[in-house]
Amino acid sequence: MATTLLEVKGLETRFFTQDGVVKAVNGISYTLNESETLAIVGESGCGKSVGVMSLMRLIPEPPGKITGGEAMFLGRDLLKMNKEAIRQVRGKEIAMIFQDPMTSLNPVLTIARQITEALELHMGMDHRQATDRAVELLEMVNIPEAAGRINDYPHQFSGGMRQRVMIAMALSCMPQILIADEPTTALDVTIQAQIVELVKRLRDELGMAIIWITHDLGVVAGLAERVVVMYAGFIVEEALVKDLYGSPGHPYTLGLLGSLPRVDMIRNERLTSIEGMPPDLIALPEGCPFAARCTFVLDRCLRDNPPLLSVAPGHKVACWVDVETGREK
Amino acid sequence: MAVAEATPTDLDILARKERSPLQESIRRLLHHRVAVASMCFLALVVAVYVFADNSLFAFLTGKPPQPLIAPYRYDGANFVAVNVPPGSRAVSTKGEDLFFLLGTDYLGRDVLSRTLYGTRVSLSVAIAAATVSMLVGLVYGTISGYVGGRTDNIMMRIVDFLYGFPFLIMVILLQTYFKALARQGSSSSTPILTLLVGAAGLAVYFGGASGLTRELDSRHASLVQQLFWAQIGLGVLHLVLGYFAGESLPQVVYTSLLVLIGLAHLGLLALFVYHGIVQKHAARSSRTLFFVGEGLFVVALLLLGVRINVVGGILAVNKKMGGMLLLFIAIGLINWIGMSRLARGQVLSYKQKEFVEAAHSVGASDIRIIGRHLVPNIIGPLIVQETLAIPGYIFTEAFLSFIGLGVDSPTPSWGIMISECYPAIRTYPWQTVAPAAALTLTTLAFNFLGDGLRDALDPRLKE
Amino acid sequence: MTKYIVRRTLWFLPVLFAVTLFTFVLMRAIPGGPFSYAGDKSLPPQVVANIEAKYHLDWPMWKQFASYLLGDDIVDRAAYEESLALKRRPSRGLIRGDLGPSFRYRGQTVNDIVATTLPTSAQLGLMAVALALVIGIPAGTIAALKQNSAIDYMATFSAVFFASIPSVVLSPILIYVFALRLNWFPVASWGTKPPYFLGFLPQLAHLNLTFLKHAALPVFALGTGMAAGIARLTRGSLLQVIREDYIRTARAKGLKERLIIVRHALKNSMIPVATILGPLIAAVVTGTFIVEQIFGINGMGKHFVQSIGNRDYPVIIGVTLIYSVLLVIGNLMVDITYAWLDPRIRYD
Repeated sequence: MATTLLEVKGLETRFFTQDGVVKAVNGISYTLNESETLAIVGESGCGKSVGVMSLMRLIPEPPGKITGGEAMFLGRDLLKMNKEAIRQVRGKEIAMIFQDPMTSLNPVLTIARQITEALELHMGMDHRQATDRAVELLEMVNIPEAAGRINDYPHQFSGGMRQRVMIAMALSCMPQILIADEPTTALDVTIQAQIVELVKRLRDELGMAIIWITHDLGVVAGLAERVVVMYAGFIVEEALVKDLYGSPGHPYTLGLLGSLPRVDMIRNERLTSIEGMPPDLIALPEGCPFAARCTFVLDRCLRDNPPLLSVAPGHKVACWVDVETGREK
Repeated sequence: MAVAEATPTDLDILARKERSPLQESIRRLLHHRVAVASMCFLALVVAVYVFADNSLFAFLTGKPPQPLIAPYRYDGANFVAVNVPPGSRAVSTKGEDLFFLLGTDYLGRDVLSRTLYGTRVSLSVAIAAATVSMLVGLVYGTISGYVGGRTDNIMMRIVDFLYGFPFLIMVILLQTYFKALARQGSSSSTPILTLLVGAAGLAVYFGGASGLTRELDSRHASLVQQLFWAQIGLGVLHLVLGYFAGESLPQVVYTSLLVLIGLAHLGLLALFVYHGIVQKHAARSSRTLFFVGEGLFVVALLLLGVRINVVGGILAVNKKMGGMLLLFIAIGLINWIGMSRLARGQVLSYKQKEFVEAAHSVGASDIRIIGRHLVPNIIGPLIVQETLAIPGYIFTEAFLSFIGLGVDSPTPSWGIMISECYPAIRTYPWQTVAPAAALTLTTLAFNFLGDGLRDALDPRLKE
Repeated sequence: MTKYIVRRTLWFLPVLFAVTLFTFVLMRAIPGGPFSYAGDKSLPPQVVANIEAKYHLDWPMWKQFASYLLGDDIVDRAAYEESLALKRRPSRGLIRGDLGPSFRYRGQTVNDIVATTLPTSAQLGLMAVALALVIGIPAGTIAALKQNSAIDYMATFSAVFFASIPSVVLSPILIYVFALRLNWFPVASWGTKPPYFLGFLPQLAHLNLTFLKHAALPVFALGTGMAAGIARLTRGSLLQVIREDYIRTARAKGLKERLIIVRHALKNSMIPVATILGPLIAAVVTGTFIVEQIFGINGMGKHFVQSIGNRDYPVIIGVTLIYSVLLVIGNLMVDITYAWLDPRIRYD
């Protein structure tokens, strides 16, 4: 049994706005083991980014606030650390890459400056050592002529190259966890594949654990071991990748899989989409948040929100319905 | 299996989401207390502006205007009560009881009345300059951004060039010139500026026409040439007439000939557009050059031909308005540049949006796309910018009046009042304080309103 | 970078030429020559003609302009010799730095007037800009970092307030309160005299309390409006920058909050501030017209306003040119600052 690196329990994040309280994350729990890749999947606005940003305490406060739960990392609760302590964790033990490489790098600072500052801060290197290390890192993420380009500015790189720079930056201090927040969404399809391959290679070389956030189940298959599916700030299903694809337990997962093209798909079979819009996070319905869009909906679904329960070893689902039969469990 | 019904909460959400962006902005603006207070204050100022005296109705009856809100006329001197402090009473030479709430100035004019009348200058300048710069900037920027390509390049080069120009100093010089003209009367005015405009217009016109002749097939090309020479011929006729106008031709004959020539100009142009030559076959840049040049040339000719009437007329109107007209023109014309840059940027960002493409794909005309789809979307930031620019216009007026290049005495402008009274501030401080307070409060209100509008239209700036 | 500066500098030559042409033509087009009146009385036409001939005002416009630009010796050799023979001062031309004679102050050239008045104005203007930057940028930064706190509201309100008081209003009020009522500062005039360090800066020995006392009110009157403008802009732009993705990236690296602000946010937020430095310099120039007038400072602004009243056209043209050059240099400096702040422009 692998050792647990990170254990999130009942994480709850809210945004207090003029229009009301946005319930972005509503008590989610999951674990991350050493050297494991966990994918968090869901539509945009389902709280998956907010969930991991809460771990890093990167939620802008105000209006955001973590209102409950704990996140145990190596015996310490990330959510209750003081600012100084969480700063020591950020970048050094848990690093993060973001969705849009075009805007995530500072346009007025050189690549060298942006990579070396973390090295100088966390690894105690002097400027020279840090610069040498930065060149190594850029070579590691396959940037050609890294030594010559280290003093360039972000706008001189293409989108894919910038995401490589972001990855080099994140891995500079050899973190134990890498959080990747939809790192391929803003990129071309071919570049996406390259980035995924790069991350896989680096994971095998460096052995860090990864939390990979995406709305694209297609990316997940070849990359992650376990998947967490989120909807409206709740975890609706958690499973090993093969279980999730083999026997999805939640109607929403079923919908997500239905909108994914497959090799074994019968010709002329249509890709399906999930009808309707996700609920307003300010006024969540009383029952299951997915009920309004669910084809299996029961009376009970409108009354009670189903808890996340084990259906098989390592497979949890939050649904009143057995999707195989369409009846209440 | 039960059918999911829309719950009340769902309906609430729908209701909230269906509020239009405009309503949403208005709601946010009304939540902005300082902005609302500013709006109320400005409404008051506008009321004073309109009803300081009854000139609106006096215009109809033909009688001289009488003060309404203002206690006295702005130029009513009282030699029995010179430099009296606020709250003084006096008895005029005609035996009337006089009360001066804010005291009087060195000619015994009521400071309160003059300050109230002062709204007329400041607000007029604000409104006129804002309108002129908004219209010119919007049209120029929209065309530049929408047409794109070489035209955009040329138009923006011009703007870049003008941006480096020391404009306020140019306004000072222009005002010096206008003031000298006004002092002197128009008879000896030199047509040199008009000639420059005309020459530039002719050059551009020629460039456009030659471009068109190259790009069009021979039949259309000869039509363009004929039109070009016909216009030049009319221009020469214009000049000859203009030369004789002051000498021997009776005014009526001259004016009617002028109207005829103007109609001929328009007729030729209409013929041209009717044939649709320009729209169909030629490059956009040549077309633009052709029309811009044509426009400048005709304007210059008109100015040249009627300069005695036009310049004289403008100066006469200017005099009637207490020197404000030229101020409007000067201040408005120099502030369109920033506006045009903003408009162009906005147009560029919206041009690629789906709804514009969609409009294109269903065959909407350019005019319709600009008018119905682009302008309504880009107008918000322009209005905010314009509101925030208004204090600048008011400052400029006060500044010009202060150095003696603004409105003519005795028209009361806050700048002139301060300029006349500040040397005596030690002994008669109230004479300076009243216009100073009015000026500051008005610009303050515009600034707060502008800030509120910006927050309301761009919620990203506010939490 | 050097190429960029050279290109921008060359771009300014046509602007300056256009300003010269425009000013010259406009001033010459003004009906009634500068010598048509002495006080309020008209002079006899013969006298006017004589004086006008002396200044070559009887030449055609293009020739006058060429003479102003290039000098008499190039344009009309004979007239040049004649002027020398009559012990008159021929025009040496703008290209050789000659701004011509003053029509009003006999025996003085425009160059003389500029040389005596420009340093004072420059000192006033520079101090005001310095004050504006020193107050405006920190105030805006603090307000943005403490957004929606009492400090922020106070800073924002006073910024809008001071941005709404024109120097026409502020100057008399300052004089009334601090000079006349409280007697803390002198009412008028400027505290230094030539010779100057580098031609325009006061010598160190002159930088005493008297100088500062004389400078305080006018510098404040000129600088506060600008400081307010800069503070507003800095606040707005910093608030926008703080929400950018790269600030989140910097936080995710574990950088200290202060380092994030100083290294990652401030430089970005200064980019829009740099763009308004151009209009700001223009505002300083026109501000000096009023402040020098009200505070009785013998600077170039006061002279400019007077020469308009006097119809002293060579002075108007000359001083306009000096102002244009200043503004052009100012704009160039803005462009350089801009390029220095933003590599995306530098490498274009």
